Amino acid sequence: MREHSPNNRPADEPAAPLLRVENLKTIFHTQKGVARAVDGVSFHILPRETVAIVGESGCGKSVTALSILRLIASPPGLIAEGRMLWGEEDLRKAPPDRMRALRGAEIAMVFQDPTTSLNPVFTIGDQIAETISLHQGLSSIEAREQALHALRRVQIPDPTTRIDQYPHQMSGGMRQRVMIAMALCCYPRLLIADEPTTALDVTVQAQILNLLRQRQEDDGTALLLITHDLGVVAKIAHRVLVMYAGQIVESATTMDLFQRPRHPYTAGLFRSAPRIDTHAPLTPIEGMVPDPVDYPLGCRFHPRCPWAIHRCAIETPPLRVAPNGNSACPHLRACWLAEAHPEGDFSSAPPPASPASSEVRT
Amino acid sequence: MNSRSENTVCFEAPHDRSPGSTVWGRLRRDRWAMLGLSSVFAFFLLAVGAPLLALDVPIYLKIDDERSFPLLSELFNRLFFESAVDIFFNLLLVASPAYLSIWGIVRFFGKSLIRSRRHLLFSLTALHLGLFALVTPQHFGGHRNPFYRTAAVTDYTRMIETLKGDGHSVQFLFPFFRHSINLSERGRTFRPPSRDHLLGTDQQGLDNLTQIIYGTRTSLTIGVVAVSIYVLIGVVLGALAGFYGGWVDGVISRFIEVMICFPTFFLILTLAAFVENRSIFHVMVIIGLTGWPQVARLVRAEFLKQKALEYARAACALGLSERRIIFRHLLPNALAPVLVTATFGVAAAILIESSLSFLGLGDQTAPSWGRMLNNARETPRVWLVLGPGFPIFLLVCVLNLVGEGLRDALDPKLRK
Ligand SMILES: Nc1ncnc2c1ncn2[C@@H]1O[C@H](COP(=O)(O)OP(=O)(O)OP(=O)(O)O)[C@@H](O)[C@H]1O
Ligand code: SF4
Ligand SMILES: [Mg+2]
Repeated sequence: MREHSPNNRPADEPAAPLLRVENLKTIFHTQKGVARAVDGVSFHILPRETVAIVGESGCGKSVTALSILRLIASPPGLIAEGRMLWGEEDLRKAPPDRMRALRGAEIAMVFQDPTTSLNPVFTIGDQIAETISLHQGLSSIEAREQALHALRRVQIPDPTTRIDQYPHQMSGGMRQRVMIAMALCCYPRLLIADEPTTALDVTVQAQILNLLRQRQEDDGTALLLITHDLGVVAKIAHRVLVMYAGQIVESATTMDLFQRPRHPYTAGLFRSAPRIDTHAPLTPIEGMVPDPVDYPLGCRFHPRCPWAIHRCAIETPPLRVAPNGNSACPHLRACWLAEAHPEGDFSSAPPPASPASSEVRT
Repeated sequence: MNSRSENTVCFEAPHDRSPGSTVWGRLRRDRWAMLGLSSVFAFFLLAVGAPLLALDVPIYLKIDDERSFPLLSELFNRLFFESAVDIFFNLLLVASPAYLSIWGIVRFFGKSLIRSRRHLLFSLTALHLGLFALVTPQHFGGHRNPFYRTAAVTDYTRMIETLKGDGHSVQFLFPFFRHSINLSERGRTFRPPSRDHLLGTDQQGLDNLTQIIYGTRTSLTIGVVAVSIYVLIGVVLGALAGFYGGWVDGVISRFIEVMICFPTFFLILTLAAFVENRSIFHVMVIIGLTGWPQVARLVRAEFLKQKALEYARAACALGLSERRIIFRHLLPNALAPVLVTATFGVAAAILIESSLSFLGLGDQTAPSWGRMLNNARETPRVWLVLGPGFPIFLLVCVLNLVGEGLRDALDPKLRK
């Protein structure tokens, strides 16, 4: 399964990125204080590329995605800093009209919960046609034709009947297909999928993933896929961003990352995910995700990191290129220990020593 | 009983069904609600068909060989029917055959003509309101409205007698109860119920039953119009508050709280006391201006709930404008509880109007049940008290039945 991904990698020519996010900071004003949900995230997406964001619950994956579309509700939330370059244009500063024209037409999004992401009072045909006629200015008859075509493209059986049905008449998987049809109906250049398969059962998950990959290959859409399922990542992502506590801690091609994670947190994620090839026991990462109102000093992972050294609690490690990696697509990680030991392997087993004495080994 | 009703639910598992028709299906199985609904419909028919039931103008008249339909022209004679409410219902009476046949034709030719039943209903309502707006005003921007008809009021009974006396052959068909609605007769005041006057006559010598029948029009109009006004205000304010939150919500919520602090009826009394020459339209507006906070609160709460659901965010992510999201996507999902409140509200508005009239703060000329009660209080006769009292009681009861049924049908989980 995994060999699908690196094969159809976009050509290694230095294509201009479709989207370049620089130092994005999104905060929420909460009762407890300012929650720094996304705290200085930078990445880019090339045309036709699939980039996955992984990380534990609450690390800021959804907020990153919503920030790109400027869907952060403004009284509690605020995109405080950074640039989101869509071509030459900074989406953070784009006027509301421009954002509305982009949403659905050039950047579309699929959400996690298919049970509530369709409007219960309209037929699915009306909902898809509404988006089409909004962005393409088609008449209602033409828009309906296009909607039917969109349903065919996501392989909905019997689309001529389905188009006049209401969401409650469909299964979860079918609704997610409708959501994808709706997101793709205007052939956007970037599709953001926020845990599109989490709420579905396993067989349907596989179908939806295949569908996403197929649509992406046929239409040439770039895909930003948010998930906590590493199996999903292995299956369709070209590149992976690992997020922890509002920051990117590791970024590499799927191949590189799965061969050797260079950050203890990523290694921890791998150890806590079930695998087919080894029968190693599952070891979840101990401790709790830090509170975004009050992140620990230094490396934000250090209270939970089995490899932590003295420096980790004092200084924040920068996101740096790992040596002897893939030159076309550098392997980045933010970890003091990995810098000190470029060849260090965090993936096999937890360190023999306790965090306190591990200082000795450095 | 319980298991059977569950069975039926499973059996009629909604296929190809809009949420609306699912609710209608549930409502149809509720006997009390259907009883209420058909009674409300009967009141409505009574209001529309009042001139066919009670009037002293012949529907059909044949003098020698000359046929005429005097009722048809008198229906729009503004010296005869002074109130716009009457014109509205008379227009409905005259146009309803046309409306019904349009409905029938469209249903017959199916969806190719118009997209849904709802659109058809909207178009017909718009058509009727348009006609009403054309017929009612006396002047249009300085010009006399050619559809505004005034003609001397004829006393057909006397005319027929004179003609007969002159040896003409006269054939006629009068409405069921042949009583005047506005020609008072000194000699007939305070007659007790008799074969001629089933519910007696009032202090002006007018037939009590006739007055009650026409009073249905006033009461229904007041209920529906007043509630429409406050539902409109409440929905807009509630939607804005719930959707935007922040300072918009702050301002609107404080406004709602202030309004709710006042006991509504005393507020209405105060406002009513300020208006001179109160017509029933003033009464409707006063009820409309005071009733909205409850609706606004409901809609606000419902919007808070709906906007957190993913479809609202999904609609935004597809590039729809905020106005479209609020009014086209969220509003239909937020309207269910409003529909229930509005039904109860119609009943409440009818009661309020009756109370106002009873206190002498209503319209002193409109034939409303409340005003009739007020008159009866000054010169008590049992038929004059029970006559209008009973229909108020009945209409309020059946409206409440419908409201209860709707509430259960919209949220079956709440059902005990
Ligand atoms: N509307 C909000 N108000 C306050 N805090 C918020 C809001 N939305 C998100 N957050 C905070 O931002 C942080 C990141 O949330 P986010 O939804 O991005 O997590 P996630 O990585 O998508 O998690 P999951 O896998 O559970 O979806 C969370 O800690 C959350 O508390
Ligand atoms: S910087 Fe230190 S605490 Fe952070 S991941 Fe690396 S070793 Fe662990
Ligand atoms: Mg999320």
